[in-house]
Amino acid sequence: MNHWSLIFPTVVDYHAHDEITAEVILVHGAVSVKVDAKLDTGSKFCIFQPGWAAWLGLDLYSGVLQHIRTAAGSFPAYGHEVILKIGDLEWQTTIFFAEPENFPINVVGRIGFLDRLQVGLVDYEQLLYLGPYEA
Amino acid sequence: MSAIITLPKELESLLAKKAAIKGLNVEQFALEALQRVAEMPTSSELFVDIERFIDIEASAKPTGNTEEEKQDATVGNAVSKVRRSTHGRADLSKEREWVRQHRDEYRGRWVVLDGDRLVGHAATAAEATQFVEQARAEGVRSPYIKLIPLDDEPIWMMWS
Repeated sequence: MNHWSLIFPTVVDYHAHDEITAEVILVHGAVSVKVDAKLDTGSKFCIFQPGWAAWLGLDLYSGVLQHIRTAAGSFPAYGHEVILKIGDLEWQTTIFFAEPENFPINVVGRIGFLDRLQVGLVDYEQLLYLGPYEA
Repeated sequence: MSAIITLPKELESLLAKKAAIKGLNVEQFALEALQRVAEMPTSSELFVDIERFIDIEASAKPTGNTEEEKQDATVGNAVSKVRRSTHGRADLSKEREWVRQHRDEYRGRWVVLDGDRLVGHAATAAEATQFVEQARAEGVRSPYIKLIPLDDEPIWMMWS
């Protein structure tokens, strides 16, 4: 029988949240905000509500336009470079801000989040183990 | 140093099988395995010397050929290093605890917090901006902003 093991330097406790939630800090220049984002392994990108672009001092429409399709419809979003921090870890990445004012959710997905990390999940204990991806 | 170890029969046969795959005899394979184990960091070493594990290229050595990589390139998202934060751990525990204690008072409201201190609350994200600005004017480095969900909201299914 084969065995595999991974080592994680950071653990995040999400027991206070209904879903698997990453408590992150977004940084742009000298400005930063704290935000909860749901972990969605089915989402290709990290998508945030448009308010966070404004609170980071970003001009939403100056970002790279992407049309995002979901099971419930589609919407435009704009990509911006930020630093994303979770636990002890941080990295520079592009995240997207949805255009619709009433966009209801913040999500961290594959590109910009999962593709930078090794992730271990013990949902029974509501613990998310994180480490940097090592090639 | 030389050591004599008595191996259980099953372990010996397992080692022999794996050694044969690598073209080694059991002694050579066992020595290699021991070296690997000896060089692995313990948990405490890992936390003391965390940079060793964190300050690495997070690059997956992209080929530029996959759909994801092409799309990634279009958004200028060259893969950057994952590093240990120079500002310490992102700690939202005070905010989390405040929300746990007060969520029923602020259902449907946007709240702006500085740790466990409520800076202000508003009906819309646009209206919450004034409290974000107020927090910054007060010297709050990273205000926490959250829309406290209504109690009767449907359960979330992810959407992609």
